[in-house]
Formats: sequence, C-alpha cells, structure tokens
Amino acid sequence: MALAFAGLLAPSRPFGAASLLLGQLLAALNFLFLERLVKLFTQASLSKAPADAAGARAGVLGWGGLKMAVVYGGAFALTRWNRLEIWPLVAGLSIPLAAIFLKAVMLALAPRRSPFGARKSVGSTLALALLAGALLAGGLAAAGVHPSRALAQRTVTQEEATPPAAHPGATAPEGSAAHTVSPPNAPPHDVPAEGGEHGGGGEQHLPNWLTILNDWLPGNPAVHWMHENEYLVFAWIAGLVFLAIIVIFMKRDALVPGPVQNAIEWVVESMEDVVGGMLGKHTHRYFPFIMAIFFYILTMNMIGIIPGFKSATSTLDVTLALALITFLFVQVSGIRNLGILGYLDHLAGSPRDVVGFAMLPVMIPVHILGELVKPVSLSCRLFGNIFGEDTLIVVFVGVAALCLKASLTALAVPPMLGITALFMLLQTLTSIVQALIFSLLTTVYLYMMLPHESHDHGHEHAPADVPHVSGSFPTEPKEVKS
Amino acid sequence: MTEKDPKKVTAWRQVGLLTTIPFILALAPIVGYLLGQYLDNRFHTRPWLSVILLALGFVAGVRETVNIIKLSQRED
Repeated sequence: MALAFAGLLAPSRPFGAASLLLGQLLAALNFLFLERLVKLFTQASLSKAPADAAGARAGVLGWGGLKMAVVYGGAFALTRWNRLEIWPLVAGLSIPLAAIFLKAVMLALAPRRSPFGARKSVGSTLALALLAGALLAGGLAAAGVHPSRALAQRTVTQEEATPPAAHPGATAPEGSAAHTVSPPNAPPHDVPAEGGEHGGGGEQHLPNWLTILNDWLPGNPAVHWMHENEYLVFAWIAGLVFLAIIVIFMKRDALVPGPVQNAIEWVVESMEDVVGGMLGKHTHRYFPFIMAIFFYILTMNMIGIIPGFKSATSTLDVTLALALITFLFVQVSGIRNLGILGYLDHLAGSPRDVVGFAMLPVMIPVHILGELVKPVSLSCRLFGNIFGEDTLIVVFVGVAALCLKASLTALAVPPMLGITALFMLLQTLTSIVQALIFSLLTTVYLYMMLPHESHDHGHEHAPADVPHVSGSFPTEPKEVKS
Repeated sequence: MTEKDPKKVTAWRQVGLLTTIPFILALAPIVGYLLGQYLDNRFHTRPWLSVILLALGFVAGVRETVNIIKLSQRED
C-alpha cells in the first residue's frame, strides 16, 4: 500500500514519496524490534534457569539499544533532512498502526459464534478493504489525481475549442434541480449548468445533504472539504452502514434467523456456489475478499437510491480505487501461488519452445497490457452503469422541475412519481447486478491467475477440483468422481 | 449445505468470463495507446511508442479474448 501511495506521489512530489517510504520503513523496523523484545521479555520472565534468564535480559538490553539507535536515531536523522515532508512521513508511520487498530476493532466486534463459516473473515476483510479503499481514494485525492475531474476538464477544454454554434440549445434550464461539478480551478460549486443535459459542462447530479450543508455553512472548512470530496464521504458512509448491518443483524445467534440475517446468509451461500465453482480449493482463501468487495459495492450503489445521498460508485475515482485494489490483490495472489519465477513465466506467456522464447519481446508487453486492461475494464463498467442510472434520474427530475416551473403540475407529477420511481427500481436491480459482476470478474481474474492443471497452455486451465467443491468450502477432502 | 449442480456453476463461470470480452476488446487498444502517449511524452519519442503499444493493445485484447473463450468452453 505504501508503495502504491509512493508511486502516486512520486511524479509530482518525489521527496514526499521518499518521506512516505522512509516512514513505512521506520514503522516496519520498529515492529520488528518490538516483536523481538517482547519475545525476549517473555523468555526472561518465564525462564527457570538463571543463566537463560540472564541471557534473555542481556538480549533485551542489546536489542533495546539497537532499537534506540536504529529507529529513534533514524527518526532524528530524518528530522535533520531538510527535504523531509512531514505529512507523507506521518502517513508512512501510521499505515501499519491504522491496520492494527482496525483489525483490533474488528476482532472486538466479531460475533462469538458464526452462523456461517466465512462471516468473521468477511467482516475483517471488509474492514481492511474499506481501509485500503479509503486510503487509496484519499491518496488519489491528496496526490491531485481525480480521474473523473480530469475527464470533465478535458471535456470542458474540448468544448471551449469548439465553436459555440456547434451546441444549439446547450443552456441548462433555469431552476433545474441539477448541479454541475466544476473543474478543479473553477469556483467551488453552484456554477450554472452550462451545457445542460448535453453534458457540456461536466457531470450533473442532484444536490445531496452535503451540498445543502455546504450552502448552509459556507465558511466551514470541514464542511467544504467534505463537499469537495463528497464521493469519499459517501464511500465511508456506505462502509459504516454495512458494518452496522453486519454487527446489528448478524451478531445474534438466533436459531430462527430474522429476515435480514436470512437474506445476507442466502446471498453469501449463493455467492459461495459461484465462487467455489471457479476457484475450487482456493475458495476458502479468497472468498472473504470477494464478498467484502461485493457487499461494499452493493452498499455504495444502493445508498444512492436514498434521497439526499449519492452512489460513491458513480465517480471514476472510487471505482478505479476499487479496481486497483482488486488488481493488486490478484497480482499478489499470483506471486504467492506461482512464486516469482512462475509469475514471470505467466507474464511471459509460458514459453516452452524456441518460437515461444523468440516471441518474448512481444509477448511480455502484450501480457502486461492484458493485465492492465482488467482493472480499467472493471472500473469503467461499474462507473458507467451507476453514473448512467444517476444521470437518468437527474434528467427526469429536471424535466419535472421544469414542468413545475412552467405551472404544468399535471405534467410534472407523473414523471416525478412514475418515471423516477421506475428508474429507481431499475437502479436497485442494476446496483445488485453491477456488484455481482464486479465480484464475479474479480473471481474470474483470480481464476486466470491461480495455478491450474497443465493441458494445452500454461495458465489457461481450470483448478483441479473445480467440479467437486461447488457449493461449499473445501473443509473436508472431497471424493473425486471418475 | 447441499451439493450444487456443476452445470449451474459452469454456467456462472461462463457468464462471468464471456461478459468481460467486450470490455477487454475495447479497452486493450485504448490502454495501450494511452500508455504509449505517456511514454512518448516522457521519452520524446512521439508517435512511435503510441503506435506500437496501440498495435500491441489490439493483440493483447484478441489474445485475452481467445484465452477467455477457451476457459469458458472448458467443461469441468
């Protein structure tokens, strides 16, 4: 994670990236020394032989001195470095602490007994995925990387380069409920929606409670920050909502589960069939991550249906962050399962003959491109669908507002109630389908990366036990049918 | 938990795999071109890397598609 952040920071702030990595290094060294010291302390206090206890105490002194010299000396040396950037350093120091804190919280919240095996892991992984997503999205924001704003800015630039005559009727209706997200250098909000529903001025959306709060408290920096990073705030809210649902409804060990617990268990079991069918014996390891992604995206999508809220997945910033997490997870899983050499062999297309080796200079970039396309396709699909739904609702609410303004209430009410409700129903369905597809594709990418039986090509094969483990975790050896 | 029908599971896998094809086909050349543009700007080699990576993007897209179709046809 620190490497990813450093990579994001490096082009614009190389010393910030270096500070972040140094902070991470210091934190890692600190934990290594602490682990060693705790072991020695325990040994010194539990040892019955005086010689062993004395040796352990000497070890404590030695390692303690080394820790002082390396960690605190390193920190002091860093403070003397005039290129040091303090916030990246603090972030580097804090990432492991935040992960430990979150894990402790999850352990404290975890239920005593699980009605289904993976639930505790789903909660923990969800928390870690939330942390990673939030940090990544925050990192993208801190590094000034806003893919959606960059797209909007590019669109604006193109519009400016085009003669105005090319856009007849491109003025937004006055009194429309739609807002326009302005490019970063423009005034912060409430810019008249130039471009109207033709989308010339950027993306349009309904005002949410953050917009209202920002209008109500215009000088408040916290509110302004939340308004500027509203997608991040809504992503956090979605995560907290889902965690609350899990804690409230899944903590009870009811013999007869309630409707919410029943629904969640049904979803988990159904997903388990699908994931188990693809990943086989690897299901147990990866299922929590896949379910965490599924529920997190589902909650983010569904929260946009509530008036005053917004789907965090309707921006490329969030979907790209999610896809990057998935991409990194798949690549790390590939390295763990195949080993470094096996992973490089996979990237090279598993050459086994002279022609294969001769094609390496072409095949390696082709494979790398193939891997890079996967997160982009994941993020674009999710963003496109959810953004499309939101835009449809905005357009119909805008039409209704126009009709109301023109005193055509009879015309305004049907679109307001009927068509918008219809699209909200459609949004519910699409939200579920998109969350399902994202998690399904994550499973597919994992499936393509994991080691398979060798048939006709090195990495295109099914796991050995695919047909026999569907529907349940492979906790017991399955009987192989011939 | 009851044992599930392997055909249903294979069908889910096929759905997952086959729905990726349009995205892979469309986005592979785009990603290649954008990467090439970035590298061209970085190393002042315009337009060679863009063209080369665009072509490689097409190849990567087709290759991934063939792999996906092979995987989806596997009956297991």
